[in-house]
Parts: sequence; structure tokens; C-alpha cells
Amino acid sequence: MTPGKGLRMIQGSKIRRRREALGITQQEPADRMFVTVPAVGQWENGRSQPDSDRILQLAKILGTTADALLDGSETFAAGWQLSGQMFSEEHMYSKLKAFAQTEGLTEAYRALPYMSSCHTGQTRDQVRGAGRSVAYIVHPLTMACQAHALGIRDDAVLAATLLHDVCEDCGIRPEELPFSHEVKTAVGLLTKNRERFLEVGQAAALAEYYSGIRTSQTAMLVKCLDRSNNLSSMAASFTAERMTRYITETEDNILPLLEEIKRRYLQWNDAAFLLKYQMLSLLETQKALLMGGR
Amino acid sequence: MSSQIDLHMHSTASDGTDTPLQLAEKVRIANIRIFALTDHDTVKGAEQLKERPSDGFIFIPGIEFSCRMDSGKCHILGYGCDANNPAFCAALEEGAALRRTKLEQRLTFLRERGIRIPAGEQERLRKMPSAGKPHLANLMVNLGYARDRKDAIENTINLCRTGSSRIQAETAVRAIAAAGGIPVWAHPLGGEGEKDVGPKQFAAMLDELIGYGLLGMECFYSKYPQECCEELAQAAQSRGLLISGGSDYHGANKSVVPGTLNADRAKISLERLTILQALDERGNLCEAAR
Repeated sequence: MTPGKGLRMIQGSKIRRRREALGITQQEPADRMFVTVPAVGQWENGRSQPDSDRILQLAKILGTTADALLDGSETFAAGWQLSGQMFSEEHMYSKLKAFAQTEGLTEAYRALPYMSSCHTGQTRDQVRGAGRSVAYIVHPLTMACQAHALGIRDDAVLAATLLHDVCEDCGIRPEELPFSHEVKTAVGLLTKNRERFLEVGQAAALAEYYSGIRTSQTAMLVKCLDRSNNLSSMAASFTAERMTRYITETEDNILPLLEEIKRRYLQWNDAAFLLKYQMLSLLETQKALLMGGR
Repeated sequence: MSSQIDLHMHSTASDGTDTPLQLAEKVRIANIRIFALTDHDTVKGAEQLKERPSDGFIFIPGIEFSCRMDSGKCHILGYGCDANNPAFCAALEEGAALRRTKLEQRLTFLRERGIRIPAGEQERLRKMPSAGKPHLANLMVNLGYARDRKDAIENTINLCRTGSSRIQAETAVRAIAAAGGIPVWAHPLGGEGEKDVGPKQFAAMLDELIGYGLLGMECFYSKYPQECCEELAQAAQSRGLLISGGSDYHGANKSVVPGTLNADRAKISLERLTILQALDERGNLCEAAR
């Protein structure tokens, strides 16, 4: 996973104050950035947002930093802060380990220390305002705890959930994983083949990727858990553009996957409903916030 | 924060460092309302406390049997047993005999290797409830046969092949039940310093113990994180087992504070330990200060 720049909303009033302090008109930044004067006016009024490259450019013109123009925690009267992490990794780890021990989940039990050592030192996307990075293992651990809470007791699903990123992020080949065939296959299907994306292009490679996932019920479920978790955390680290792309991609590929799980695997009907409910709520909320206009 | 209950504690009657009376005093200071003395393979300390009225807390006489079974080694706790019950006495005696045999095997082994332990010291060892490797190692160091305890144990004592001094888990569980007590699997995911119990072994051991009549599981344990304890409690509940909890306090021999029922030191309320209701129903809660 590459570190994102973070979803930062520009604060129009900060642009205006800075511009007026320099004694320049809207014309000057407009000219230097090859945009119209009304466009600058709209940024200042908060009616539209410059994209991330333009924010940097604008900051330079105004002799300040992008950070100074963007909103920050100080703008929230409630004093909110984003943590980027909902549950402690130690707690999740102990819970899952004891669960695996008491429920006879041998693969999940082995997957815990395995993935933990693979992801050592890796961190997730930087969370804005959090002032620290979140350990990578928080992501698979949160997913596995969610699966557990959704009533999923399947050893292969929980093991594949814990291991789903070790090939993509740690350079291990799926066939080398010291786990069962089912787990290896699922992790292999969940691992994006970068070369394939270069060979046939994004759209075709993505279509292949998802049709591969459809061949394994384990991979299907893990993919949905993965997306549900990523949707929960993206607002804290993605740019607005990236969020928009991600939402569209989720609607195009993940929601149909969930429908298929509901239809094909009765034992996961409830889990699929809850996942769908969570994802739709997040999509709805994030779309509403991105659309703005309040 | 300590809990007001501790159902797993050791005194000098086994390998703890507090006498039963010192332990009772510590329990009182720690504001623990219900506690059990569960010495290894003996009820001597518990019997002593049972006799003696003390300050307001409820005392439950207990025991911790060292056991073996097909699927592995384990410890079985017993609460509220009638110490005069013949089956219970037989189980205690069987363990004592196994430990005596083991001690004699070791003494013979050392003698054959030219290590002379004075007769007085040998007698002292024979009188101890459970003279094991550390006691022999201390003697070897003091008598100049080894550099230190580790040297004595690893290079000499461990070379001696002995039989197990553990009784069968089946014997322990059935003896506790016969004596009107409640048999409980102690630290089911592994005790202090023990190897972690994996999923396959846990399942095998639990099935085997339930087959013998196990009634409870020590879900809250000083070494286990709180989340782990909660999972164990769920596992116990789903199998119809009573939930118990204890610190495994050994005085100065282990750095555990009385009333510690999880590694996070979160306070566990009395209602969580369903074993208490069962003990109450059986009339097994003897209040020392009436």
C-alpha cells in the first residue's frame, strides 16, 4: 500500500485572508495558475475545491504552505481527532488467538504470528492529524475480528483474511505460503498481478481479477471484508479524487460480489447482509459529504 | 485493579512462599472477598485455614492436581471437596506415591553417579510434600557438585529417566466429583512458563476432560489478556461449563498480585464467575468469619 496524501479540504476563508494580507487580487493567482477569476472566487467561497496539485501551486503563490490553507483539527470546535484505528492491535490479536485456540481453528492460529512477522514495520496510509502511522497489521486484524463478530467461524476464511495482503505487500508467492491449498488459492486470487495490469490495461485486468475471485467463496468473502474495512478508513487518508474512484469501483465490483455471496452461500447470508448494510451506509455517507452543498 | 475474588492461590503447603495464615492476611489487605487455597496435590494448607475463623471473607478449600492424560499434561483444580472422601484420599495418596518413587529414582541415580547426599538431607527431602528438581539442584550446588542450579538440572538431574509423578486426569476429575467438589481445568491455554496450547490440543484435551466429568474452566487467569479471557468464557459457556478465575499467586515465587484475574488487571465482577453460584448451591462456601 502506498502512502496517500490524505483527504484535505481547502478552507476558502484561509485563501482569502492570505491573499488580502498580501494585497493581491483574485486575478493574480488566476493568471499564474491558468484558471479563471471566478474559479478562484469559488474556492474562496468554499463552493468548489482545487485539486491537490493546485493546492500546492496556490500555496506557493500565496507564500505559504498547503497545510496552512487546509482545514485542520483546530477548525473543529468539538476538538475531534482522527485516530485511523478503531481497536487496539494487542486486544484484537489476543482475542483472535484465543478464539482460534478454543474453536479449533488451526490455520487461523498459525496465520496470526505468520502475518504479524511478514508485516513487521509496515504501516498503513498516513491519517491526517493523527500524528502517527497505524501499524499495517491493524487492517487484517480488524477484518478478522469483524468476520468473527459476523459469526464467520470458517478456518480458511479467517486464515485467508489474516494473510490476504502478505503476498501483495511482502513479496511472498502464494504457492510458498505454508498453509492449506484453499487458503493459498484464496490469497493468490486476492493478490493483484501488477504485470497483468500493465499488459492488458486497468479495466481488463480488473475484470480478470474479479472473475478470479468469483471462483473461490473464501476469496469472495475476504474481498468484501477487505473493502468494508477500507471504506471505513479511507476518509481519513484518501484524497477526494481517490475516494470518488474507490466508491465507483466498489459499486461496480464489490456490491455484486456481495449479492452473489448472499445468493450462493446460505450460511453467510446474515454476514453478507451486515456487510452490505455497513458498506451501503458508508457509501451513502461519504457520497453525501463529497457532494457537499449544505 | 484487583478483583474481589481469587480462586487459585498457593501457600507453603506446596510451592508458595506465604504460609496459609500469611496468605489469608494478604487476602484481607487486598480486599478480596472470596478466595480459595489451591495448593499442588495437597489440602494441608486448606484444612488449616478451614479450621480457623478469619476476617469477613469467604474461604473455599481447594486443590490443584498435577495430571496427565492421552492428549497432554494439565492441572485440575478442585473446589469444596470433602477431604475425607475415600476416592479423594486415594487420588492424593496415588500422587504422593508417584512423587516418592520419582524422588527415590533420582536419589539412586545421583548415588550411582557418585553424588553423595547426606542421609539427613535425604530424609528432609522425603518429608517434603513435593521434593523436585530445584530442591535436588540446590543441594548439589551447596555440596559442590554443580556450578549452579541450571548446571545441576541440565547436566545431571535431567539425565535421570523417571516415571511421571502426575496422576491421570480422569482419576483427579472423578475423585473431586466423588468428594462433592467441582473439577475445573486450570489455565487451559497454558500456565505461567508453559507452552501455548494449540487449537488441536485444546479441543482434544477439552473433549477428554468433559468425558471424565469436568464441570468448569479457569477462564480468567492472571497471565491471559482480557480479550483472551472473554473468548475462554464464551467457549466455556457454549460447552455448558462453569466459569472460574484465579491469579495462581505463589507469593515471592511469582510476580502476581492476589486478585489478578487477567493480564490487563481489569476488575472482574463476582457475577462473571458462574462457579460461585454452583458452589453456593452446594453449600460449599464456608465463611471463615461467622
